[in-house]
Amino acid sequence: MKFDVVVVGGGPGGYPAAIRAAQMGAKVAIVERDRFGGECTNYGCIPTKALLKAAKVMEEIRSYPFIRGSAELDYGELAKWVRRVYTRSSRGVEYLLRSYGVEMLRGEARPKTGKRLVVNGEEVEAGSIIIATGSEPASIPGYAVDGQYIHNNRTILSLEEPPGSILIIGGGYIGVEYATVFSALGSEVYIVELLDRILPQMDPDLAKVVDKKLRERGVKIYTGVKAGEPRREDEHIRVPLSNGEEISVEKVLVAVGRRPNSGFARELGVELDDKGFVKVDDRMATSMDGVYASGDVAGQPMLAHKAFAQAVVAGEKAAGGDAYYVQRYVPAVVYTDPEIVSVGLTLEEAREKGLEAEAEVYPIGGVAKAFIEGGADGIVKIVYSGEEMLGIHIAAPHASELAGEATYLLETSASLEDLALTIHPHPTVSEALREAAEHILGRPIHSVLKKK
Amino acid sequence: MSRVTFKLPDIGEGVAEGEIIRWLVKEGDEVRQFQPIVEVLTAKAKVEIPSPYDGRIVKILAKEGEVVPVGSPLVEIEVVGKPVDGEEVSSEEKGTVVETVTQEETQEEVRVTEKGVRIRAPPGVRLLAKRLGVDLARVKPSGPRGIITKRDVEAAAKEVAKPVETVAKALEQVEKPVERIRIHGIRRFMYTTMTKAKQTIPHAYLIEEVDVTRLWELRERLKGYAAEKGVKLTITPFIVKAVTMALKEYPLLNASIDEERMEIVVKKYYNIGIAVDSPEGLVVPNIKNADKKSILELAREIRMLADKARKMELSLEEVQDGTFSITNIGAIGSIAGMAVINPPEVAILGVHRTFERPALVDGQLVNRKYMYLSISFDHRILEGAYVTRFLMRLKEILENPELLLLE
Repeated sequence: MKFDVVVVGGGPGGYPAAIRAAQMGAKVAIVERDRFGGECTNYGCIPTKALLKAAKVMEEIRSYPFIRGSAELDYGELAKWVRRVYTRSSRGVEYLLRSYGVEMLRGEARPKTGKRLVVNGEEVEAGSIIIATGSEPASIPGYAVDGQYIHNNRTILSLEEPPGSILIIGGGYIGVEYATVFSALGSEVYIVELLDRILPQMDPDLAKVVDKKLRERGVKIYTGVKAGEPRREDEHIRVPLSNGEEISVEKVLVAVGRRPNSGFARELGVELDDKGFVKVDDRMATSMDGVYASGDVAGQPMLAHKAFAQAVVAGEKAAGGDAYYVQRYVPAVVYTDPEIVSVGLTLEEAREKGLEAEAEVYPIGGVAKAFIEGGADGIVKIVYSGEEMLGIHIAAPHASELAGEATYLLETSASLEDLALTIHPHPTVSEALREAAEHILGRPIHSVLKKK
Repeated sequence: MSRVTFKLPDIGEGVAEGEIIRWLVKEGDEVRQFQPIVEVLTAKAKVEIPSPYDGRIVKILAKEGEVVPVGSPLVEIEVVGKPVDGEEVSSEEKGTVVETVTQEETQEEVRVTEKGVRIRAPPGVRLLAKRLGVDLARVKPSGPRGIITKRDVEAAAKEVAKPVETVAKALEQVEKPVERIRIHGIRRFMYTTMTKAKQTIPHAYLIEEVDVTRLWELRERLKGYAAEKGVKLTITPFIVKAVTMALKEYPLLNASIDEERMEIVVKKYYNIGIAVDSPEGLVVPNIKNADKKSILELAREIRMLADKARKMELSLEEVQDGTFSITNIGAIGSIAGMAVINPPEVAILGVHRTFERPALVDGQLVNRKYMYLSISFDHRILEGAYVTRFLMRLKEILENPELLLLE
């Protein structure tokens, strides 16, 4: 079999590349060893959002003052629904690939010589190769994932009921999202984070909002603490902590980050960096001629939307197009309650870069829709230098839906005044963004200025 | 270890680009900081560019023979030891641009030019710039708050593309037996400065006849003394000296124009350029503070500069900051001619062949030596009368060379 472009990996770093290359007239094949849509569709972004929806519904039933009685969650039905959600997404990806005439090869791709690959014992010749092999959960010693007591983000999806108690090792975005899910579904939840706060990659003020909310829900958060060697005891796992305490839980979720799946790349012989990511340039080209890489395997941040953008560039370039990755900002979104968004620089990062930056935290309590949506304690924090915005950080109901606007503002170098002069519909949470800009400019309507 | 892209640094005033003459290292080589890694021929001189770091050459990004603008990538270096951040700061001070490449570059949120100006351009504009090969750091923004628009990028691309188009067109119509000589390096500089000079400066010209009989006699008498000191004496140093004397009396000829501020900048120093035909084209090294040097010193220096020019060994300093130029084509031939002004100067003196002619002196027919001097001047700021007075004064000094003693 001979193709112009062979994409290795059917996730967000792969399938858009295949589709774009096919749109440009190339003969394309895509290799996937598991399910199309990849980690994101089948084990990550999509199923967790479905679980979080359930958590949100339960939490709302509990928190709004006008619901009588209580609702009961059928976890079995939820699991089925979650499956339906991601299966639908995965099928959608297959449908698109099929429609564009992309050959779907199921199996593991192994490099042979030059640009030849072997898939299921069959030789595949490629004009160009796009490596989109993604990433896998990182592990920690002593915590071998068994799918029964010790889980990672994949196996945790196969639970038949919410755990009575769960220890989440790692307070990053996966950890806090699962803490949000299980605390809403009635589990006793513990988070152990090695660093001094949860969500260490996000703006500290956002982390504070989430930390407070999780604690209110009864999540026990240990920061600056290391989990020691776990011990099985009947149906429980006992975990000693570095602060001297010991906790006993039914399940442990290891969420200590992800590492690139670079086995294929290494075997092919492209250059990797010291963390195992494939080195790429702004055309997603690797050190080997005609070999590209996109998505998690091509470096941080390991986020699906970054993978999409890179995949399109890789696909277009591999098919002979004149494509470049020109994006400067990759928004980070965490679907906690409230949702949080970080785009651009934090104040600390801006100052480290030597910029004369300032930041203003605008509490969104004055925004009516935020209160209705149950998130009046959220914030909008804008990092700016003169009139220019350098970073936008949001903790608010539906903040994820504001991430696109925030990113656009930064990508286009919009000024605080541009934002303040743009009408945002009322009543929406998005008003908070505009109000925050007005606040910095010293002329807010819906918040009271401190007298100077 | 981190990888940085080293770009062609700003090597001197007025140097906008350089031609890669020879790489002194190859990919994979270890380099030490300050070790010369590449020879670059700028418009005016040959320069060796040192490595800013200890490290290893990963990739050479500019081919030999390629003409690259200041600020474009030369080489990728894997830097040993020191963190890139620290390096960035110190090299920025020197005007050198250093950026991390690969993933870091594509995800760099705030891109800053070498002057510390943040580059503001929406993604569509950035993509267009990439496609057209335009470095956004060099584009003049027309949008609000320094935002670069697509039109700005297109305009910048056109400027870069012009010469390329001409070459492409010329290449289309080959076939006939011709030899193609690339206009590059110094010749290219000559090409652009002469074009600019003739297109922007309204030249006016004057020619005057000078009786140089006594000047030649003087030179004959002094020749032996000079030879003892190892100097071959020509009449050029006398002319240089006479020129500095005359310039002091007519200072507007020793000047340049600051167009931005609409001012004439009158120089209080006298760096006299001497046009030399080097193997690569015309160069005009100048004698610094010529007014303060003796005839012997001038002779020695002229000789040295001409030698260096022919060997292509002139330093940037030796060709920069001239205030007035002399072109002495008379040594080869030509009875008279009109030179082109060497910008940013405002006048150039042409020295022509000395010839013998009978003349009536005190009713006697005698043999005399004559020479024509021509002067080309910038008529925007100099009037014919003023320049004529300068030329007459110069004639007076050269016809009465003992006047040189008064200086």
